[in-house]
Amino acid sequence: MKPVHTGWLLLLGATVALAVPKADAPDAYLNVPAAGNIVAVPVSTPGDVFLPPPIIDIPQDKAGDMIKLGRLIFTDTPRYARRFTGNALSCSNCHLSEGRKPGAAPLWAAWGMYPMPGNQPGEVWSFEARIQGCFRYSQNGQGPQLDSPEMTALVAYAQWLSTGAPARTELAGRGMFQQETLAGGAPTPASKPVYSVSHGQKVYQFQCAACHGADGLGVTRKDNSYQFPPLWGQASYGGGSPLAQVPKLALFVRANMPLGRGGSLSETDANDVAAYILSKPRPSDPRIGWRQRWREARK
Amino acid sequence: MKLNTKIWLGVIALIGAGIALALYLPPRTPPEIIQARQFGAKLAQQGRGDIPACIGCHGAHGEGNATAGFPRLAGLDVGYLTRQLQDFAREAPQTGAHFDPVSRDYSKTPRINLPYSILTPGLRRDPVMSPIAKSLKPADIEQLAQYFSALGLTAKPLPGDPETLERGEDLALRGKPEYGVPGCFSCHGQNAVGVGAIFPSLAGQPPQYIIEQLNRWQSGARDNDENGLMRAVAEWMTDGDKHSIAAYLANLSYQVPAK
Repeated sequence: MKPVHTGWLLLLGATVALAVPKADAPDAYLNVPAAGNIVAVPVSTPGDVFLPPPIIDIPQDKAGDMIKLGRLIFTDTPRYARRFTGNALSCSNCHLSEGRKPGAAPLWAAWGMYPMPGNQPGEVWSFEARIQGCFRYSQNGQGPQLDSPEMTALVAYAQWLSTGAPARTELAGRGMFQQETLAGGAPTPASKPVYSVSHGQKVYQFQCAACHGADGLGVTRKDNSYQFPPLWGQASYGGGSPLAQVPKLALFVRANMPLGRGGSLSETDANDVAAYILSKPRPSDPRIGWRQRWREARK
Repeated sequence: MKLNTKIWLGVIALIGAGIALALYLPPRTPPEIIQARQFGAKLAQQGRGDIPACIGCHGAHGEGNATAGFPRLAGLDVGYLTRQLQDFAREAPQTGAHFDPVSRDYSKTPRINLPYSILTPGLRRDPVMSPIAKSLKPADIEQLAQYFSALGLTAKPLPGDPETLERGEDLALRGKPEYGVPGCFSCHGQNAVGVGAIFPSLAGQPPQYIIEQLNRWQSGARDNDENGLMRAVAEWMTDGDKHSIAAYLANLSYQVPAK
């Protein structure tokens, strides 16, 4: 056997040494210290409100992809459902915490209640029709067609959020909180509610203006999407939205606002600030034509 | 006639080109702000009298100290930095009845007839930072804020425990809706880049600093938040939540360009 030249061996060794990456020193690992327990926080609320499944439980299949798309549409509607929206709002601007927060119309409490009887005799509202109404009245756009991927994704997301929730059952936290469950008890029955818009303006300046802006037109990010949603103006919800009625907006404000301090406003403050917000211009209800608006204006 | 038309077309084209150039070029930084940054840089790097140099603890480029838990200052908002230094220096308001040595006529004094006037400016007490902030003049505070807000920063995410990071992401995006706690990003901005002077950037802050501040919100040692928002959020956070969110925020990749 012919002896191998030492130079070839050296060349081979050098090639291997260059090709194989040098083993680095192990990366610095995130060192997070333990927090000293300052305040004891209750860790669970058994039976208080329904807990939707965590995001990591979304199944890894095609149905799971649809759920993920639904979540994206829900949290960033102007980007992922561009062709159906007419303003800058996302679903999660009102259905807070990605449709999970009790008291902010959570999806897990709504899903099992549909189809439900509508306002007119013989009318039945389906969940899909309700989503179309949201797009039409609250986002000033077009309702997604029943067979569109956007509609499928949103329905899939709502269904997944209500995994394990009982169907056709009034769950705690459905819709906005009722007045009875908030501090202060049931509202006193008044023949005609009187709202003070000027007091609402003061409440707005102290409680709302820090986030939504003194002009109420919201705060935008660098990419022109909204960090804090506009409360009035052309980029906000229209007159056909449920939140364009003072009692419903007052309930929403009282249950959820200021963000993280829900329930801290009094009934009067919430009513007045809702009246102030709704005294500002916003897109009109698409169901009301210019003839009817003209007739109402002349009354 | 023809010459006139050509001249006018040329003038219009020049004006249009000027407008396009003005829109394309970035806005010019005012010279007084540049000067404030220079004065701030001198004070931050050298200190003065009994004021130690800021870079000793907060890093040569304001990047903070992850080992000791000193916060990063680079790229934070001017208004936020100013307000924090003012709140460090502020003493607790006097409580109890106050009597004037000479009686005065208050009938001409404008009054704020609002129930909200009971709100006091917030305090932020710290054994190290409060004495330093008290010896700063108002101009120093302004200049230091201008200097540190103009610094750039590139955060270096560190690998961490995936389950902790997943829980941290859950808190950052969704919060704890069953307790009415919003996610961090709903106020502090997408990826916690900060929103205005009220909501500071959290990305790239040392985890020790985040946990320490959450503890202070809970204990009341820090109460200079807008409208009591952060206090209301912090009092629902368990030790595990603080740990998870600190790990996640320190793990975010974050870049802010130098101004």
